Amino acid sequence: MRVLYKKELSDHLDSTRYQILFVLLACIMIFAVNGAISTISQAAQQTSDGQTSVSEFLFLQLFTTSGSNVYSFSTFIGFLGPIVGIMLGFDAINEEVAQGTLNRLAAQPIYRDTIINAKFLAGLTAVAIMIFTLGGVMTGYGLIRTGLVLTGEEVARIVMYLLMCTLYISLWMALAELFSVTSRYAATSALASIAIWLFLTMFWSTIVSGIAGSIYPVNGGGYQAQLNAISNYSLQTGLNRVSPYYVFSEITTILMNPNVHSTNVVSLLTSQEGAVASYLSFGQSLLQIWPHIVLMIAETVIFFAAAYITFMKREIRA
Amino acid sequence: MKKNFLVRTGAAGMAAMMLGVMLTATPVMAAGQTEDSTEVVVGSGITMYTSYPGLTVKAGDTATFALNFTNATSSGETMELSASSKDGLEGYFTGSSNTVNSVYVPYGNNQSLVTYTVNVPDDTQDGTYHITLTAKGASHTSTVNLTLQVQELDLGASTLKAETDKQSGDSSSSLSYSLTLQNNSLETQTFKLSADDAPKGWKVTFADSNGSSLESVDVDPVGSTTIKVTVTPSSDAGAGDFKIPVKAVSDSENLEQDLTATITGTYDLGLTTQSGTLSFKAKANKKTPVVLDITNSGNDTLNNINLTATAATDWTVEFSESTIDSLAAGETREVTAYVTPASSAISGDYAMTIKASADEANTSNQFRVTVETQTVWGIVGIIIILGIAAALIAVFNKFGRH
Repeated sequence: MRVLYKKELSDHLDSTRYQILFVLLACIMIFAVNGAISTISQAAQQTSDGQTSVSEFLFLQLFTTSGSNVYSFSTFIGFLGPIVGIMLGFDAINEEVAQGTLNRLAAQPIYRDTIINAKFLAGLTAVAIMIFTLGGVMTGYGLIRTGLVLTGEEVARIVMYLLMCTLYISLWMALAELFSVTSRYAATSALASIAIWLFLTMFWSTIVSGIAGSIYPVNGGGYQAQLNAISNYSLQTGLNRVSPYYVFSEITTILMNPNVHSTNVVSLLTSQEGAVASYLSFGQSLLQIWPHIVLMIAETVIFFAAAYITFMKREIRA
Repeated sequence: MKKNFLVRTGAAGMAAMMLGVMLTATPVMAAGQTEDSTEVVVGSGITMYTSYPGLTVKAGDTATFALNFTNATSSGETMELSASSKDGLEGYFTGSSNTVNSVYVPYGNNQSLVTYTVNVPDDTQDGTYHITLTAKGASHTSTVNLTLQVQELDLGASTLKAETDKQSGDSSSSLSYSLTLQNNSLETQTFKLSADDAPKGWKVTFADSNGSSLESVDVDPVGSTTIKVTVTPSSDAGAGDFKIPVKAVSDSENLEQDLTATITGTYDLGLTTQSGTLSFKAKANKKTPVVLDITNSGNDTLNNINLTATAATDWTVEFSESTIDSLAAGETREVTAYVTPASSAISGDYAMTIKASADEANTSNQFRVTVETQTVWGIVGIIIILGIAAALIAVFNKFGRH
């Protein structure tokens, strides 16, 4: 298993595909950080002019602040992270089948599940390497550029955020691997994965607001519409959370902005009274997104387990 | 009749001196003299007199007599002034701010030409004293007998008196008194000022009228001085009247004056948590006990202290003791507040105000409540993850084909 894992990992790291993704993300990271720094320094100048106040956790904003014409790092990860996962996983099994190497691999004195386990773990490791390298470089670059000093809590939040990025990308990788097992051709699995990614990331929120709007109409004003507003919102949020993209964005918000107390806007509104603007501790922030984390882990495991079962039940013919 | 006679005599004298040709003018001259007649003095010769020849004075005082002269002669005259007294009282004559011993008395009435001043020594006994003043000229002599009724000074005990011996204020203010120290002896006395018997913790300082502080004060013989006394009560002085005996002690005398300070009651309530912090942690929908210290920091008993809390909607705050009947000065009472945040409260800080109001005073403090999400859901999440892991292992075992 270890041999296979190492081989798969080196395959990943050596592959042009991985290197291209890596360079792509690195470029994006540099652009995003520069954009964030210019925005933050403008804000900081305004603060010294006595206009607005700056968060205590300024450094975290490097990850979430967007520049004037470039998305923030977290937005890029939310959009493009799935692509990385899909690219690393969509041809995991069917490529081997197509090249006829799976037979030879299965002929080796190894358990068959070792093959898929090693592939998944190697993919996971490759993702983790990519994310933590980028995150680390970004942190260092941000430190040099801004001169901010990191607090222990900021470090904890950044590490947790990078872990969540890895988990998010792994989720998509698990999904792509499931398609790579079920579909015969790599192109099919790639298209299927990308279709799901596009659907959940781009269109799901539109569909959700349509569904919520038809069940709890809020148009036309009136008392009923006002009553519906909260139900409508709750339903939208609930349905949106089907999409890992939405879940990940909530995780990002809570983790990287200690000022946000809850992902639930309704409870935020109702418990606003008497609340004092304050920062949540890391543990408290983590508790807020704990269900999200559990959900992402569960989805990853379920996708992987489905791929595993499918793969194990399959006949490998010569 | 007398006046006419005088005029006529003067006119006759002049007429006699002028003789022959002047005779025709005589009636004119006589008429002129008659017109001046208000200036013309009564009697003959030169008279010295004073309006009030008898004075009553105190020993140590100065008696002055304004001396008037009437010259009824035709010409002025220089007169020697002298005074004699068998009782030994001595004085001096002054005129135009100078000490004089003779005076020129021109014709007519001369008011207050000379002043005679007598210094009555401090040790002069009671009694009546006589002084004879004599003005002696070449041809006239006039005498005035003066009588001085001397009342002896009230010598003996010096006095220490307060203009106001009662002042009131709260325990944080300082009270000012004004004392007059009268030295009734014939010597300069040095009085040492003290207030050693003032209540404990009180501060008493002395100052002269200019405000510079004094430990002791010199008082001239038969003189007096004003002493300002500043009393600073101890900060924990309770309400009520306090006696502050102030002493002025010299070598021979021991004076005392009681000052009274009325301290008005101050009422002050303190409210804080036992740790002194104004923040604590609570979990949503979970009763959290917070021990509060309610302190009476005033100097009088507080009655009927009611505790109330203002918090966000759906929060409940209960007190182990919502009413304290009375709390003596300086005492502290522990009260436990049970704070239950609303079940919908989300993580973060909330403001909550607890107010303690007694009949006499009230205080309120804002507390910062950090609401934390209950970790039970975190544990549930971990259980779910463990369940997923177990399921994965089960999948591995079932389909592993090992």
